Amino acid sequence: MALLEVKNYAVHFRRGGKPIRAVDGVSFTLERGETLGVVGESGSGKTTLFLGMLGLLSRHAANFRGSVRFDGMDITDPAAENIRTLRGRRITMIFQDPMTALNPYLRVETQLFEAIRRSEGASRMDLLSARRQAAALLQAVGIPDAAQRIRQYPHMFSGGMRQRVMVAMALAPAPDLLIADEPTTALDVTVRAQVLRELASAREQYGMAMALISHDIGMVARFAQTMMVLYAGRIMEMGPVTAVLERPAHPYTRALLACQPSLARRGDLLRAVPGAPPLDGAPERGCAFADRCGYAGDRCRAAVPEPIPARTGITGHITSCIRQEEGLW
Amino acid sequence: MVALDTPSPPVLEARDIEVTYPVALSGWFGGNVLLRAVRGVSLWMRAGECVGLVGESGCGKSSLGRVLAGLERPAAGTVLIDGRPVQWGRQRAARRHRGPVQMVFQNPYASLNPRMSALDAVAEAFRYREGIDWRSARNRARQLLEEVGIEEALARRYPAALSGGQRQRVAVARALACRPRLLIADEAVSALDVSVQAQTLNTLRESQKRLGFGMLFISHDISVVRHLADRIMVMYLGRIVEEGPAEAVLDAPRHPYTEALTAAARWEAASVKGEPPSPLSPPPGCPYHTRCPLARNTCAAAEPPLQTVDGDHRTACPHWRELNRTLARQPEPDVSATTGML
Repeated sequence: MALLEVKNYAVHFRRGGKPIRAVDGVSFTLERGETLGVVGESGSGKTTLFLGMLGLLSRHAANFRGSVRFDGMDITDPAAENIRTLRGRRITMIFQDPMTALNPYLRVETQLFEAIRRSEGASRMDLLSARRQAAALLQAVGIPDAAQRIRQYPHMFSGGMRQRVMVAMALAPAPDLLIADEPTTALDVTVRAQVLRELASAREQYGMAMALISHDIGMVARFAQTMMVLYAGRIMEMGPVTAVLERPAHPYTRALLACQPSLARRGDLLRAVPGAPPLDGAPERGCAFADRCGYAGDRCRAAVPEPIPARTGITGHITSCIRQEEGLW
Repeated sequence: MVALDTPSPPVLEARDIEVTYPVALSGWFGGNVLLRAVRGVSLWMRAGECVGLVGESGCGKSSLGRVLAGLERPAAGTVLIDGRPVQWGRQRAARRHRGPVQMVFQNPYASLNPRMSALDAVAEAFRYREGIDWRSARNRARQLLEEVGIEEALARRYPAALSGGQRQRVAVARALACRPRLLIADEAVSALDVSVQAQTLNTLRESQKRLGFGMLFISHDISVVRHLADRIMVMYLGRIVEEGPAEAVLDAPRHPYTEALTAAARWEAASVKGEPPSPLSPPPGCPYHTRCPLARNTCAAAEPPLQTVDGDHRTACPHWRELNRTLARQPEPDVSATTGML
């Protein structure tokens, strides 16, 4: 049984009369120990997907459809009790901005204690062992002098150090699933790789599953096994990282790769994609990328394409392009 | 883009630029300390050339750009644009001199007037530079916007109705309306999504080809810089630590910091330790020695000057010869290579 099983999940925000399809018809599974990279541009629904599943979006603002099962439990209903018992214990999350995710009034150790006590059997841990464990956690994510530094407040930490504290907090309850939402965007380039490495080695050590949300394809290529490409709330393509990168089966993935500036290439012009991603989610009918796609035809605009096996034939490689077999690219 | 061996007079010559900011210390009796954002930086640029300036946040790259654009007065140093000294200040005469230097900023949401259509924003620049009436200014603006890919229907829109990429191209068009000799693009594509970022990069590159201005492209992202730059300068804590032809600097870095930046761009295990120190209290000697794998006692003793590696390629690391031995270089798994088949 997969750790996380998502079927036809949708988050439609209500605005006026017209729903905004922020996430639409997303299905995937995540196994224990697997890292899923979720790639998409801003507004593609990559954050909303996970916030919705964790019950962190207001029920009054959005309609949720489909089903979400975590370790066999049905957690589709965000109001249900069981998602609340999972959050912060078996599922933890690292947010993008370490400057706002920590409470500025509390010592780092106090915030770490909270995370530690949430793990099973540790709710009545005494201060001394909690403190020892907190220091060990900080040490493990690469913070020097951890025993002294846990007594400090967040403002005394640099951005990279704060993000490490966030990583330590997310790891403290030894979760089964860690959701990392753009964990390095706020950091300096030389620090990004360091933090990700800490995260990756911790993941390996604890054997947990991880969802790595990022707009950076290079990062996902390095740290994930499976890659999901989202566009306007829908999955365009998904599969093993090497399959998606080396033999992309969707025009959007190809476009995304072609406009990526790269160190290895000092080319002439980048292959830019005309237009911009839609601001109001997936269209009611047709493929979400059709308006910007060079290969789109009438059929593409007629119905929402269902994900189908990619022509590569690689297990788990799927695309939602209905014209992939026509040999257009 | 011109080949580097065709000599043309420099459009920009900046010497020994120093930028300092007073920073108030906390407490009643804290007083002020001087933050030295830019420490003795010199650079020059030929017409049609693109120089990439790379560094992490707080390294002084934006301060340097603002000095060159005439927006900020340096504590010391001189800047010549086309042989004429730049004047800093608010006087009309000083402002007039600044026309030849234009700037494109990071945030296209903040750099356009929300109450002015794209067309008028560009037309206004024509009116200011050439003293022509609105009618002919709008005609010129229409044409220029077309050239950067903003068609008439879009041009009549207000910024709120344009996407980030479109706004950034309007900002580029407005800068081009002033017929710049030097264009300073400060993180001009950092706020944009990749699929849109490419549009702006292409616009900058094509315009430069057509109009032949010099460009200073400032960014923290070395792979974006590589895409445009003929020469690259790497900045760390207010100092230039390496400069040279783009290929040489990126393919065979001669400073451990540049090496770390390129490794980070490939998400490789970087040799760099820890985080950048505060520019308020830069370490003595070589500013990078606290994070450097090659550091030894002498590095902390005196600040090493730039030394020539080969031709135009200079490094501030006296131990650069050891670089290749210490750091094994790995090839990049290039995500874009696959698209060559397209």
